[in-house]
Amino acid sequence: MATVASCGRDRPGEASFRGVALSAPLAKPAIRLTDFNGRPFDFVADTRDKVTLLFFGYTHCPDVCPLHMANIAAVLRTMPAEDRARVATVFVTTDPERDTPERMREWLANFDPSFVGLTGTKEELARAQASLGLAEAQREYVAADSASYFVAHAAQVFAFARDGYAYTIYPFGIRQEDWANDLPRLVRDATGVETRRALAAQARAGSLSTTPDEAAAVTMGGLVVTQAVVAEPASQDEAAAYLTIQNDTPQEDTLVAVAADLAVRAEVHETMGEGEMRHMMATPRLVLPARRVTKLAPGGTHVMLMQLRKPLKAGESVTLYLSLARAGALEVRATVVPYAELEKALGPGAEVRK
Amino acid sequence: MSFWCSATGEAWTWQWRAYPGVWLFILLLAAGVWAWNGAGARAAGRPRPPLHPLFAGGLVVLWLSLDWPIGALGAGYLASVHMLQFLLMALVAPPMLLRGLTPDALALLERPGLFRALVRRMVAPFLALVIFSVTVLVTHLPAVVDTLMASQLGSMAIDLLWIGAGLVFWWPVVAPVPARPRFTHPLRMGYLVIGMMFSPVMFGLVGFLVYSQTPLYGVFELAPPLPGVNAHADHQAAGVLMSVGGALIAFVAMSVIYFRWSKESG
Repeated sequence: MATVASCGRDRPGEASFRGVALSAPLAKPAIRLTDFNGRPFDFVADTRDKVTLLFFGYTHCPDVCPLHMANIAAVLRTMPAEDRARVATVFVTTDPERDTPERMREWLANFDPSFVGLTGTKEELARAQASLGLAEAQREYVAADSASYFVAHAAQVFAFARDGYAYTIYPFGIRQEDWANDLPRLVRDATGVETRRALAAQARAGSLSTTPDEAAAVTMGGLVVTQAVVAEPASQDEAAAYLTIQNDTPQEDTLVAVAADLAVRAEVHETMGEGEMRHMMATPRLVLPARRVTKLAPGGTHVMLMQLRKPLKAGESVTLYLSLARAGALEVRATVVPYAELEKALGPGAEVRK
Repeated sequence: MSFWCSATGEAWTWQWRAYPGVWLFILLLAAGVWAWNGAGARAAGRPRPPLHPLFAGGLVVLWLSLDWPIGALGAGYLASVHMLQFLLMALVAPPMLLRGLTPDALALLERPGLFRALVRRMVAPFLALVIFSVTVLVTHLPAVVDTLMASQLGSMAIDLLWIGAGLVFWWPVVAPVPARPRFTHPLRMGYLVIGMMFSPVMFGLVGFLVYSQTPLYGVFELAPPLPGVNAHADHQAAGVLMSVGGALIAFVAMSVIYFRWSKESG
């Protein structure tokens, strides 16, 4: 089944939400953990009537965590004090052993003194992640005999509006200008009505539709996404996703960021060269020409899912979040298919090199 | 091992990395000028003079700006270091490199031939100024930087464009061939003022970098952060560096021209 949500076209005089809209609003989960001052923290009660940005990460993270925190903090600094006071940023550690309360307090204060760090037992933290549909973060040791490790964790920030529901999430790749666009709008909307109305208007303007069958097409803003599949990977770390994007509009669009729920990182890769010289290269922007079909297929351009949160098996599904420069954001569910069935799943014209 | 520095998305470490493409480029550049000077000397029937020390200095500046750590930091981590690379590659190294070409080597350009004619046309002051300004503008557009810096070939293309545009820009000021008696010392100083000190293109870029509410370049904003550096301040530092660095280099060059002019005037 394909789910879709959009934040795309602007209403006259109003900018689109830049976050990835969820297919259904997500209620604030009843998370009860301990904050970095050793006090109990009730996520629902202690963030009531605030726009709440929830992120699961760890302080030794070299990239995603400090970037999200730095970008949110930078945008908060540009907002008026009364708006800033309406935003709570909650960082839940996925590495409780190394993230002591003192370390979290010091690390978060480097970004913004209002940020709150939460910790708990391994079970409590796993429950907190599961309450948002996230796989439990996993350690990845640098080497088999090494004590140092990274933590593979969800890369998106959940943004709960003041009414206690999350309508949008912010995957890795979201920039300060995107936060600067969305945060003030979320802050101004005390009831969530305006947010829902704006997202619905964006969806209508983009001819949002969802079809629930297997050959699902996700349509938005004149863009039709079909045949989204992930090849069942031999590797436990990486997988490739393929899809077809039909741009029916008279203007070109650009795929500027990709994220996935079951991978720490996702990138668009191009296959370059031939024979032994074949190699893949990340491409940060994929142009989708006007009135053309762009196929992301084996042997060519594809989405590389890296640092998988769990081994992928045929029949499972992966949610891909596509950020498009003009149309906005798209959420596409891709089914994991065995490699042998890839050609069939990708439809006519697909060439699967073995 | 990578051929050329590019944005990799990997966390920065101070562990040295080899970029053989940079070494190859520096060697080829040195060999090319050596061969060109040799051809000029043979054509003039004179012995090949030794390489000018400023040329060696130019090569060192170029190597430092392209290789680890400046090259790696500027390609994928810090906008300010990216700007430092621009200053070194386009504004500092080219006049030094051009001093490495002997008058006999340059005289070869006076001979007939389509390529030579094209070079002579390109280095005419007005066209050189236009080529330089357009290159600076295009290679600093966010869409271009974000797209090209992600690949080694793209990153190399930006570096080579800067070096090439720098050579074209500095040529009428530094190289005596083709002779331009009407391009006097005061005009040369004015050329540097328009091209560097008060360049509308550079001023515009500086304005965007310094006064933009959010970082201009996604490649640096979303790069694994370095401790104590925030992306917005880094972009502002890049703007200040472009403004102050460009003006300072222009000031030094204008001083040299002025003193040379004073000396020639007796």
